[in-house]
Amino acid sequence: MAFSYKLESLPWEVSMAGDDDNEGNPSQTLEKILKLREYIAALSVEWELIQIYTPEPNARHIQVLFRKRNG
Amino acid sequence: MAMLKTVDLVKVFRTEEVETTALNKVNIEVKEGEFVAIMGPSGCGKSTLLNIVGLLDNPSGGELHFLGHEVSKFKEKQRTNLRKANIGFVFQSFNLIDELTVFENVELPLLYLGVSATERKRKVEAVLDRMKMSHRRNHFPQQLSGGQQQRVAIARAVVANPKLILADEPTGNLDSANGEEVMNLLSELNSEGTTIVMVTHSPSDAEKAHRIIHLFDGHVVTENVKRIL
Repeated sequence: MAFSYKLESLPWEVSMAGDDDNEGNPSQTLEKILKLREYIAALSVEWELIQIYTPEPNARHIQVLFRKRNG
Repeated sequence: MAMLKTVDLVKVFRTEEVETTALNKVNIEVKEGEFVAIMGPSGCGKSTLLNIVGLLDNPSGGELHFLGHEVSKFKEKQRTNLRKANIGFVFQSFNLIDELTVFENVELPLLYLGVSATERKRKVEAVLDRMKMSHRRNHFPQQLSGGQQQRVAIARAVVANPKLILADEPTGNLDSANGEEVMNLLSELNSEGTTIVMVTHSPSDAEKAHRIIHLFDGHVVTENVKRIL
């Protein structure tokens, strides 16, 4: 059985007015999580989420591993 | 039926300088007989969630329902009584007691439950036989390989017939062959009806589960259904 994987580098920034500190702000974290969910949901018909990797501090992208669904 | 359910579960750790939200309104549900894997990068809240679900810690907010009881406000003695009767634990570093033999390690949960000596002997021997560790019953943990220690740990986790097994990185300290054996044991227990919630970094271990929940920074990001219960 053969599998196809892809590693996506998804945007990991949110632009929220009023706070320059992009790390540790709970509402910015939630905004990022919501965006991540949207990206994953948009790919989910053909691609299954395998792993989310830890982004570097202040990273602008987060790496996510997907596997193509069979059949 | 849901064996356990969390509603907007929150856990905040506070020190003098720092406040960390380890779990942020987490909602999960685990049905009886299900095998659920929880995945996510280090620090995402996986082990915190397992500790709360395992009644080892109380949440800071939200609700935890276990076997039909809302337990988030339980005092320590109530949590202990519910936990020892219903939950078995398997840890990455085995957590066997070095001063006790294999037999005595596996016997411990039954002692805490007040089971008679005759019944303890019967149950321990049966589970050691199943785990193919009978021949090592009088050995100490440091005399065993990693794979053998984890088999003893699993024996200890199941000897009291718990309804739920919580496994925190059960193959994390094992080579691939022993890891495969441990995962096969857990799958076998699940096929017999034991509910399992397993935290893991390993996508291949998670493949054994009915469902995979992905956490990130204390939030549920998504759930994958692998197979139907």
